[in-house]
Amino acid sequence: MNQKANVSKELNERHRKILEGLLKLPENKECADCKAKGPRWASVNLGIFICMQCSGIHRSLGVHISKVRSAALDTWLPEQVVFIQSMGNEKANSYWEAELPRNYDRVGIENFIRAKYEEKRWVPKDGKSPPRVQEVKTSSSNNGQKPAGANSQPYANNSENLFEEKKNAPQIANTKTSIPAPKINLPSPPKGPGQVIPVAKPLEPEPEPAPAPIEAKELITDDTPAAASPPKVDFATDLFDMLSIEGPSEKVPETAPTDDWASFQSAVAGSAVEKEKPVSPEGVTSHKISEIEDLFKESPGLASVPEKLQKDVKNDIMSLFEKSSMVSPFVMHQQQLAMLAQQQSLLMAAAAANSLGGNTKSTGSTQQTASNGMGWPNVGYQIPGMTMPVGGQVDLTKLMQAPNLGMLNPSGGTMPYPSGLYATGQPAASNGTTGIGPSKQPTSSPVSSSSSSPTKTGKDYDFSSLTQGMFAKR
Amino acid sequence: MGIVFTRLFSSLFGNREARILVLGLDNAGKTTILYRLQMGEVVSTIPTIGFNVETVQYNNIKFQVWDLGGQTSIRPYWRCYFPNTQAIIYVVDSSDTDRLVIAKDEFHAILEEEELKGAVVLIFANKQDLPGALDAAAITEALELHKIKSRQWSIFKTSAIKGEGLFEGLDWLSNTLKSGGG
Repeated sequence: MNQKANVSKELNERHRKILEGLLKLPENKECADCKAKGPRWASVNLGIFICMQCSGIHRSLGVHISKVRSAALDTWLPEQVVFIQSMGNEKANSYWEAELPRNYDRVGIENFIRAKYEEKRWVPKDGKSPPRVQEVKTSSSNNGQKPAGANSQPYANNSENLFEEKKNAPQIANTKTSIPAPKINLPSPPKGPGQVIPVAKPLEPEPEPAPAPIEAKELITDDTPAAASPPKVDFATDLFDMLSIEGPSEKVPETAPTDDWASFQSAVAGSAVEKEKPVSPEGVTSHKISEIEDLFKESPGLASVPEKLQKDVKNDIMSLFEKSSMVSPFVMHQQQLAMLAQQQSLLMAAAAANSLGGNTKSTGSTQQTASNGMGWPNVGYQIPGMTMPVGGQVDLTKLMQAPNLGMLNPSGGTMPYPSGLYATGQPAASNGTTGIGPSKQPTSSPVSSSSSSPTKTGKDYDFSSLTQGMFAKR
Repeated sequence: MGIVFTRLFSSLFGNREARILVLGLDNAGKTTILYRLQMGEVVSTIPTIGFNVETVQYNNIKFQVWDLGGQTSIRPYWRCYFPNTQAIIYVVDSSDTDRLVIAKDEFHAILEEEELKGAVVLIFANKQDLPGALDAAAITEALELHKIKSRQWSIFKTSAIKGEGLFEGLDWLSNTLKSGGG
């Protein structure tokens, strides 16, 4: 019946955690279109994260172009989550903005978005199809020719190479045999319940990342490196992928990534090592390093490395692995996420240590610390930045500050997020006319979205301290 | 001049008031419809988190129109607004065929609410300007409107962007409300 009814509360919660994790990836930390910081919305068919302003524009395009969902307020279908996991802002833009001039001025964001997705003005000119799932990873086909010590190159050069390779990625994907093909039809949801249910199944209360490496090993044992894995197995990998990604967000940042990290390494080490999951992650690290040459020597000391460098290191590592043992791209993706999560926490620590007052930094840490009550801060910091067409919403947002400022939600409902809204929404409803009075003031000015500017949203982001003043200003 | 007559008329006969809820899935076009009705303009919207409320004067009826956010997790709070509601305007994105089933389920869940027992229902098959939009008959079918019992309802093809169908719907609503429905 109702497709969404199949998404249990538990599954929904897991999806939410996955999405939270994805939103912490550097590529997804800014809106895919206007580059505003901290997007909380997404286009599920384009696989991108966007800010609220841009989500409004995307909605106006029609669902044949973009299907907008909130990362916090909407129920996602498993395949939508899987798809956005495999896509993300960077990859999507490598297609949609392939031909975009470097210093293109994005003023008039609505026109930009329409040109980008409706006219497809900047997609690759050679008739490539929209990015689906695996293209980015295929950059390894070039990387593969590099010497093993590729990561010793200056990072700047390296990232340029990657960028170019990424642009070519769709071509490569086409020429490659059948690896990406079997499971790519993600945007069109699998119809049979058989495919949906297994997703829900492994997501039992205690997720263990261990199955992922096992799955990977099976794949690796195939003789041909580029052997097409059967769709079924791939799908299972997807599931495990989903499973283990949420690891980082569920646990303490310091320890979480190491788990995945361990599985990452064991997966990559391939069939050579049949080893139990080690007790101490450090143990694994040191052990595996010897097998994987000196590549990982940098990883343990990541803490002080700037973000960009880390990313490049990561890419290099990825490419090397792909060369040696063609792991399923989804597993790779998982590992990528794991690494990024690790970087995230390290960066966070570094940021704290340096006590940088910058907005973006503090934003990052706010996000991290507030992850338990994800709903409220999320909604909260979108709202100051948006242009309200009407007073009713403004009113509501004022009310909505209450939970943010630490007031306990009186209703304390079972649903972690909306309960606050319930509490705030109800008085408004029961008061009846109270909402109407203020709403009349701004009615004559339905503000257009033109006032959205990246900097503004970035500033708004630091919600807890700023909103009071901002609302006062309005 | 017209305004003067309207004022005179309403002062003589008094204005009826009606509380209307605009409901529907996210991105159905509820907010755009509200402001199209209220100001006659197409506004750029962002997702409604919470609600918008406006008063729309039409056909001698003062419609207090509540536009509630449609995101999945805030739909449960629609019910907070149900008491004393005379009419529901249920908005459907006619081009979003994938989610018509969800739209139907939400719709029939609303109809089962005790507090809305007396409310008349106006369905807007919105976004007729988009390619692939289903017509009123197809939406009627998809929403299983024939299952509605003991309630006055009607469906209109609308395009909030072009301003088509909205006031026809409001005409039906005001006539129905005046004639004692709801």
